[in-house]
Amino acid sequence: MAVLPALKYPHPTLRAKCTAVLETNEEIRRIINDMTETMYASPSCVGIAAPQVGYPLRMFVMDVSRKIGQKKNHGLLALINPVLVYSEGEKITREGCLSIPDFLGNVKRARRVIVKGLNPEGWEVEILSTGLEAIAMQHELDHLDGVLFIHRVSSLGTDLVRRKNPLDNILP
Amino acid sequence: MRKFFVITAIGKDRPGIVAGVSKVLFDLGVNIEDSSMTILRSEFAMILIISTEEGVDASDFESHFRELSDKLSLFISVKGIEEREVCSKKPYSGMPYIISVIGTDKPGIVYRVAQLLSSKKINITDLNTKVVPGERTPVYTMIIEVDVPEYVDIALLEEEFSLLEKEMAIDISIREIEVLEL
Repeated sequence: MAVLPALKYPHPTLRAKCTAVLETNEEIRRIINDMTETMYASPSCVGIAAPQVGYPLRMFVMDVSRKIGQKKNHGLLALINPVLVYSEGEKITREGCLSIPDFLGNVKRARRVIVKGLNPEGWEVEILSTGLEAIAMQHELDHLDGVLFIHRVSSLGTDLVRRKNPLDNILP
Repeated sequence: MRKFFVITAIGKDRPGIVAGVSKVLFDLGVNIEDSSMTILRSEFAMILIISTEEGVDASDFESHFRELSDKLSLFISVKGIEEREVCSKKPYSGMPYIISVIGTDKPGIVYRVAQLLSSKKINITDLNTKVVPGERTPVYTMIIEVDVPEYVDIALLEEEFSLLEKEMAIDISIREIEVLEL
């Protein structure tokens, strides 16, 4: 396992539409393990998508329990070829992103989502998420289409804020 | 070594202020590092951090801005700043909070809240106020973003807020800004 360097905007991989994973094999599981380790190496990070660490593939890992404890979330999740199948409601959250270390953005997203995909063993799973986990899901799904939270803010003046506490460069 | 300046320009809003100011800077070969511009009622205000080649002084801008400031009735100021002030990675050290204040419009709301924050060395990083029509009298709203040093006891701060709430008949609430790191 290894902690991978996080690509920073405007790296072209972050803007690419990622390709589907054809086979959930050992290589894919190794990348997912590295992504998980990279996420845990950053103190408050609750999700990483493959393109953020240089792989333009449709997969992400997340663990919202790092921030909100065990309730109302699935803990560590890894999803391959995820697809949003249902969303409802609205919620504005202030999001930060390892790939855009200097800014935070207020982004409006759905409050509840259902996402379908494969787990690292290749089994199809369907996950119903609410609250912060739902927000994180949508942020990571966006990464797979080359969309970053800065593309979702409606006003630079009120919705995009400079970090008052810049992320330390914990990642290599 | 580049030199850094902060430029402010304020004037009655109209088309051409940004174009005018940025043309002067472009012609001088100046780089705009960062900027914030907004309109308040009828006044337009710009703050710009710029960098120049070495050997440029604040007074050098004066002659270049004169024609523009006369034409558009702009009030323009230029001040030199140190590179380390501009480029410092960690200007703040505490936790970000949002304070909202709501009450009947009366003199002293901004002052008394700001005074309390200042006495605790809590830095205001953003502040907006708005007077909105109320049922009988106008309601004053103020949203403040602050950087709260780690040693400040939030429970104690809330107690002091509640004293101020009673005294001024206003509502004050403080909450930590929740940030989802992805």
